[in-house]
Amino acid sequence: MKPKKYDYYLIVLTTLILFAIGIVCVYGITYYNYLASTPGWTGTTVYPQFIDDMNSYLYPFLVLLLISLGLCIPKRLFEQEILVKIRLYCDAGFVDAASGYSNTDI
Amino acid sequence: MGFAEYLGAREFASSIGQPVITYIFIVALLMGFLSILFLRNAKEDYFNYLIKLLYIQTGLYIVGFIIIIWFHVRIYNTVLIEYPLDMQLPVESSRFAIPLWIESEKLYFWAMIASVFALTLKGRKELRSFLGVILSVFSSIVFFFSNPFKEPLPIVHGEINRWYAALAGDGNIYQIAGTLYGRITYYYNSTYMWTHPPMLFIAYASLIITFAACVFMLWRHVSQYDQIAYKYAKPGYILLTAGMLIGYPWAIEAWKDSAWWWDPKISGSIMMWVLYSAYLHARIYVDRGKLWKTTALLGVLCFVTLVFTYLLTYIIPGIHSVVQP
Repeated sequence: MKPKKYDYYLIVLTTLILFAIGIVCVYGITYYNYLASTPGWTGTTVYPQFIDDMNSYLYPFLVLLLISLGLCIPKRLFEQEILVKIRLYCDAGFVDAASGYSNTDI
Repeated sequence: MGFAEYLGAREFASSIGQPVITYIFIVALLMGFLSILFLRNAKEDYFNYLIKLLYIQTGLYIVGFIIIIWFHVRIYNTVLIEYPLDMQLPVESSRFAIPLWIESEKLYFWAMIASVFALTLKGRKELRSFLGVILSVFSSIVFFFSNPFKEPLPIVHGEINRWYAALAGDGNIYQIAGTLYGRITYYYNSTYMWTHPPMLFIAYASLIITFAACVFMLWRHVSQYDQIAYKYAKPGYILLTAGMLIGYPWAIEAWKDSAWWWDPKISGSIMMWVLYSAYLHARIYVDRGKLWKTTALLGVLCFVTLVFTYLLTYIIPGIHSVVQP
């Protein structure tokens, strides 16, 4: 089966996000090395600030990664047919909920 | 049993191990020479000799490793740390169960596993020859910069020396016993120390082959190289992931309130891991357009980050590092 185009772009996007996390890590190493020129800096308030800064740089990429992997991984684990059925079931549930209709009424 | 027996074992390990590592170095030089000859002329004889030398080198590495194991067992049996009872430590006495991959032994262990992996590789003679060059350089680095038999376990030796000197009345026994208790409990004898580093070194050894295959993929454009790279990247990645995950609870236990989060070595490891993840991810579409080129380049870049991460211990200060600002 020929893969769909969106899948390819999703893979490229995920690869780019992973690469970006790698760059954040390089920045972290450089930043740490710069701060370490002050002896005992990890015992000062500079260290928690450094941790907060680094975490804040990483979070957006982590969220993006979770989204992209959340889209990627189910696709690889389950057959397309199952995913389509789940999707149809979810859509039906959404329509039912919007119109106040319940399956238990049948 | 005591200090004299320990010193005798150290002397013996050094005197037996030195010739072994010298032979490893000589064989490595021959291997490098033959590998280059084969890559230039593709003569079958060169390759056959190269494979024989690879077997000899791996055998020598294993002999050296057996000597290392023997030395570590001797340390365990001869050195006994008896903590002063009034220190109220949870143990009264302790022995050094030193892992086989610390100090100068870690690079040796990595090179030995890389040699074993090189033997498992079948087909593609030029790739195996290139691995011969890599192993030749690697073994030379071990011989000159990380020789485990030149001065076996210098840090452990210093600690044992200080302990026996303190017993003889030279130094503060309480201070030395306190330091040793931390070192033995959270470092040498820690289950994590026996699992975290070897998993990473076995992963690194596997990823050397991925690197070599990616280089050939870029050079020769033959898809078989990509398949070899992928075949060795899979176990490498699994062990890398498992090894890194094991390091996390160990860091919490051993370093507690120390500043270890975003430590350069940890940042480097995460960087290496995400790049290998990117490599494996991009490889899904390796047969589409020029993505094979990107994938192979990523494979090479991943290995560069691997070496960089290993060297971080020696070049940038941090909790994992041996250098200080």
